Amino acid sequence: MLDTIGRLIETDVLVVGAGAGGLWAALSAKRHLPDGRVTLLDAHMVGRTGHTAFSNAWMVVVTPEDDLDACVRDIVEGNEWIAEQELIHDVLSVSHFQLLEMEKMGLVFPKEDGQFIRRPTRGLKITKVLKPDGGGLEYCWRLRKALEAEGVDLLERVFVTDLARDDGGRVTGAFGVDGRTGAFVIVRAGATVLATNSVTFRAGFVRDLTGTGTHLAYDAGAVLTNAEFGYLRPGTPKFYFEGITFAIQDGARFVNAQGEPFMEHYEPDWADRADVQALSKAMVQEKKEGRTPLYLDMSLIPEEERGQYLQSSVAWMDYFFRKLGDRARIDMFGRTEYYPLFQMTKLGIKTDAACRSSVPGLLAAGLAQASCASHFAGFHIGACNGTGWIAGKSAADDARRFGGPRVSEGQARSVKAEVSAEWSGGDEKSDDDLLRALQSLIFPYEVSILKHETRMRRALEELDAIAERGARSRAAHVHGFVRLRETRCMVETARLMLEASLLRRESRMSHLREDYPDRDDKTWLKWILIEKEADRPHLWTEPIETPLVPPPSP
Amino acid sequence: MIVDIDLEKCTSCGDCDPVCPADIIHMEEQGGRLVPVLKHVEHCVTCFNCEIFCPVQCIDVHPIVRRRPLPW
Ligand SMILES: Cc1cc2nc3c(=O)[nH]c(=O)nc-3n(C[C@H](O)[C@H](O)[C@H](O)COP(=O)(O)OP(=O)(O)OC[C@H]3O[C@@H](n4cnc5c(N)ncnc54)[C@H](O)[C@@H]3O)c2cc1C
Ligand code: SF4
Ligand code: SF4
Repeated sequence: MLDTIGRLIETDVLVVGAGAGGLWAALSAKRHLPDGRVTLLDAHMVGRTGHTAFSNAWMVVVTPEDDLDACVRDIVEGNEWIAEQELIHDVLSVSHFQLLEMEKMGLVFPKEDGQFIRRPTRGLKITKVLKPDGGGLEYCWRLRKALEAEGVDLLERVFVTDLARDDGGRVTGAFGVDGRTGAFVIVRAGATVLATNSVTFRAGFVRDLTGTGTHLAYDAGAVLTNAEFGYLRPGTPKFYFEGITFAIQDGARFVNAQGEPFMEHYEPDWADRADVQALSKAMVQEKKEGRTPLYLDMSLIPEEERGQYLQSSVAWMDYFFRKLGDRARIDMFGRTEYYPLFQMTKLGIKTDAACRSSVPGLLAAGLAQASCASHFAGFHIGACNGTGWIAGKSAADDARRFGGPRVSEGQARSVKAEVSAEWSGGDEKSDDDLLRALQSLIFPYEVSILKHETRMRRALEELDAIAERGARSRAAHVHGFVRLRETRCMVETARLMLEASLLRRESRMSHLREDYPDRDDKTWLKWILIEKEADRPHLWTEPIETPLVPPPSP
Repeated sequence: MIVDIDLEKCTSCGDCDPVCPADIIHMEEQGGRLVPVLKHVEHCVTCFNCEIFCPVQCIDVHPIVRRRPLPW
């Protein structure tokens, strides 16, 4: 009996992860299956967690007055064709409906003369973004309230460790542990949506938060993609600053060790206004030319404009900036040394345009789903909203059609035994040591930003030793166990990132090969797909379909 | 990183515990009273949630985080 093994929860649709992707997936599933049970599960508190809660929540919305096809083209071109065209079309198509739904939930999107205030975003030519008052925290909270009102069950503080599968390989729910007590939890579900974000290597501040769903899917046999791409942005280890775009509009400049602005040289059209990836790439080139350290010179911002940088509509950033000067005695308005920082991978679950993965019963939404390789400021949340809606609808359809999911007692018992063995008798610091070893391997720019075959092969060898250490590690408590599972997921992600980066012998967007510096559309308009085979990654390529936006002319 | 909770001002409401996305604040019984106890503070992500949602403003988060290895 399953309920003797752990706490058993039965649901039609299970959504794992309560960021933008998961919140919308749960709402959509409930709307499309009004008499069914929908459960939204998160390792933390729904409405207060995930990258979404700490974001500005700028989002791409295409209104009826916009040219939808032109916006699809804009995003596909901005992604240099690494994009699921049909899915992006469907995501944008539903975005205006979602905006109106959010207004009904009480979110306020500022307007002028009755029109939403929208602005362009770096890297996209015509697609516009807007954001709600209160940013991500308010967005998440209003969505939570809407879910409660519509009868979605919330299951909080449960960390999912494995997916349940029936004899035919179909995903039939998930296993997890209570994040405090360690009590074992079994969720039996007709359809399961993973909306757990992609993977970070704990890049600092809220990007220390990471997701493990892509690897749960990988372990269950799902195909992953986009491992060779990442999210790069210029940053300083001294403080968190998201306002580079505005600072540059107000006069701030990137300069090199000689005090020379350098962006014009690399991006004649955009200069310092270029996308964060282009800025990061230029910084790496300056490093290669021996012109570091590099600085963002904020002293060029006029005194009267500075006040706006010390406040934010995002609550945590507002607290942060207010304390920066008083408590850390840091003056933002000087020359601060800047670096290209690797924030997270773009590894995601490959799905069809309905957000179904290659494994029956398993769907993906949010950044755990690989819709494209670059999301700009605003298409992270934009893509999460839309894929959430689409995945929720598909999950509702699947749950209705298949019903009666079976979870094997044998699998439940073995997962439980494995999990509980991992948090007893371990070392208090084992996870921290493992993480530090991984970060020291991955964060150097010659591994994760400017890639080269020789260096990547060396890194893979070192990674084997880290992975072995990770496999042997045991935690001292549930907190350590969750961290350890997350870190092992990062180690495995690093492997996929290196393997896929070796295979893509060209440079494109965030994937920069020193030994193959040019973009090669003739050979590389392809996905690199990854599947687990005998415990090792198996990689292959498939052409990218271009039903809506034709490939660039040679 | 979270640095202090002023237990003199704290009303034991427990709001700071669930809003922490990094599992740092644990309400525990001490001397017949529930109090917020800090654990694994080095894993604090400096999100300020605890400070933002504490109804009596008795939590202090410092804006600086531990450095990560730099790209060069
Ligand atoms: C400071 C900051 C500002 C940003 N600003 C913007 C912006 O203005 N516009 C924009 O488009 N993007 C922005 N982004 C990016 C954007 O916030 C994210 O890409 C997006 O929110 C991701 O949403 P998600 O639903 O995929 O994941 P998340 O919001 O991260 O949610 C994933 C959830 O899954 C849970 N989870 C993970 N693994 C498990 C597990 N094994 N078991 C249980 N639960 C699990 C996590 O607890 C988490 O709550 C910003 C990001 C940051 C950090
Ligand atoms: S700042 Fe955020 S992570 Fe740190 S203790 Fe407070 S709520 Fe938790
Ligand atoms: S939120 Fe504030 S008052 Fe409430 S338990 Fe936490 S510290 Fe105490």
